[in-house]
Amino acid sequence: MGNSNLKEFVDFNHKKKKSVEFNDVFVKRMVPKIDYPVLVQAAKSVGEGNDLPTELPPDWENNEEFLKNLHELLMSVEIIDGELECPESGRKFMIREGIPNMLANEDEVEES
Amino acid sequence: MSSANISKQRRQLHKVLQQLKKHDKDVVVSEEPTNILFVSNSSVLCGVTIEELEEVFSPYDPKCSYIVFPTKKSYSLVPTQLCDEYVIPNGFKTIENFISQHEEEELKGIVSSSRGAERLNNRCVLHYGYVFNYNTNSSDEKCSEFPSLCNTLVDRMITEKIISPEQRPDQITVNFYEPGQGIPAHVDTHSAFEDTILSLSLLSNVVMEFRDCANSALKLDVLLPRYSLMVLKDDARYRYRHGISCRMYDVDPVSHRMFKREQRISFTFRKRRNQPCKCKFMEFCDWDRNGKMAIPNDDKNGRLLEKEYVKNVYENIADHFDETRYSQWKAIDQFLTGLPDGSLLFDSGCGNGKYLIRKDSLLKIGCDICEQLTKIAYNKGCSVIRADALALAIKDSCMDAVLSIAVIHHFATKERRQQALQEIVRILKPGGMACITVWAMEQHLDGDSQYAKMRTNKEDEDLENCHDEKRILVHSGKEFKQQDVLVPWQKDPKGLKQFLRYYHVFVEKELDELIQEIPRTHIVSSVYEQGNWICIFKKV
Repeated sequence: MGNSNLKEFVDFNHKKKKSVEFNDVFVKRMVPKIDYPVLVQAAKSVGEGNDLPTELPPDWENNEEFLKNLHELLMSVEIIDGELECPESGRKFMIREGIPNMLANEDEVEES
Repeated sequence: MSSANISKQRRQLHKVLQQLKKHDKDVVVSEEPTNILFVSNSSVLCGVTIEELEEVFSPYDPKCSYIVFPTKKSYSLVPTQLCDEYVIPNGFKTIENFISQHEEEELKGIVSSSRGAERLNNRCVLHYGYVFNYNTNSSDEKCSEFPSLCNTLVDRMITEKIISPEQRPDQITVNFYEPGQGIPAHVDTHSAFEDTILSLSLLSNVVMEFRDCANSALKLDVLLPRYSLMVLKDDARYRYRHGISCRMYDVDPVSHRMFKREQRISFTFRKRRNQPCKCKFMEFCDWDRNGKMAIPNDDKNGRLLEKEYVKNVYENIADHFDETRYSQWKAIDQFLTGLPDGSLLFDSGCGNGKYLIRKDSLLKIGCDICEQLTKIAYNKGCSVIRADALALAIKDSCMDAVLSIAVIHHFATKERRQQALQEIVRILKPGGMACITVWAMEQHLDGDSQYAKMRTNKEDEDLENCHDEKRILVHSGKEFKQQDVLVPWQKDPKGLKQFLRYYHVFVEKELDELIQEIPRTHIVSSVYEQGNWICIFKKV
């Protein structure tokens, strides 16, 4: 339970973009913490991250353009309305008003 | 008015009152509001005239008076005629002049000549129909029949539609009070008697006190006039304790006049119940209501209890909860400050986002099961998901740190509490740290906790709610009487809209032991702060 690692954005109805000042210290710290290929795959499924390579470039630490694009994706894009699908079970989890609903029990899932 | 202005006003007021207490020892400053207004900086010395005071206050109360000092004082006093609304508990009423003076004399004659009166601490009692047993709080033993006048009075209650024929009482307790005597606050045992309790007052008036079982700081004084019949139903019968203080004077809550106690006799009419209580005040009842109020011993019942008394309550009180949750605890603040910059932090049960909005260089994500609370957090700019703390939608071993602040005490079985901790350990990276806080059963180990201080108005003596190993009890008073409790949340000051939240409060070492039962944990610190146990552990 709670162990599905690969989540793909299948659909989105509404996403939001806001402009955030580039913070290179922050994004450099983020890189080791994220599963980069999954992130890019998910981003592309919602029409984002098109200027990012599929795999993490080996020189990422010094690649300012890459870092800027990654930062933009991480900080500026938000899914407001959409869906997450578990690739193992096919179970769908809704995102509504910016909040993903990950409740698994049938009697917990509420109609929004 | 802006909140900056409000706190400035409060500071000024506080300063003025401190000066008053220091320099004018003959003025008694009351903790509760009285009808006397204190007007600072308003004396002749300050250049304020009585005419000016009249101009200010007479629109509010044309009948108020003015105490103005010609010299030495800088304040004035304005005693007003305005007084509190006479508030009575729901389900309480009195029917005046239910009996005639002649009937009163006859009743007095009947009981005075009786020899069966039993002496208690602060009064004498006598029973008809069935004896009321003060040890078992029930009525099973038959005794002498109702006097015929009592039967007449019961007929009158039915004719006047105060009760239906099916509700005909079969038990009478007569209480004899000398001046200065009273009866301790109590609820008439739910399962011993049916819904409606009726009580006739003879020989004198008296003031009776009602206290909400879920809020013993709220005391309602009611007047029981001589010759009147008091009718108790619903909340007044099931959810309030009623009693008569042992004192020589009462203050009439209607006229505000003091009167002296005199001899009084009451006749209480009740109908015995022959099956367990079915009232709608389930949480206040005297049995576990077919398991609904039992301390859960399996997962399903645990979940049901939490749904009703945790999740649904938070959905209803989210806004109010948000307003009252803003201060940070030292131990948690220290924990967060000690985390390396850029750490990925997960707040399991983040509520209104209190720790997510904190300004720092941590990457923070939170979850909560409550929809309204996640919305509040989201609107503050937090990254939140809706998830169950027992099934976190987070990968194994990816978080640098985890917070669980005042969450685990909401789980109703030991297994569920363990599972919540297991989830925290699962999502922590090796070397990652977690900070867990839970409410402590012991409430003032470090002097008075803020919580205990807030509750000083509440009565500690709780005659009905003694420790019950199998049932969840409503918490009232300062100290927790047992670990599994329902704690009232007042949504408004008059206590009319109220919710009950379930807690399993922790005893010393209980949290530590729960953590230690999980592999790969190492407790780094374990402290008590403000009535809470705070444990910090590392995943090894």
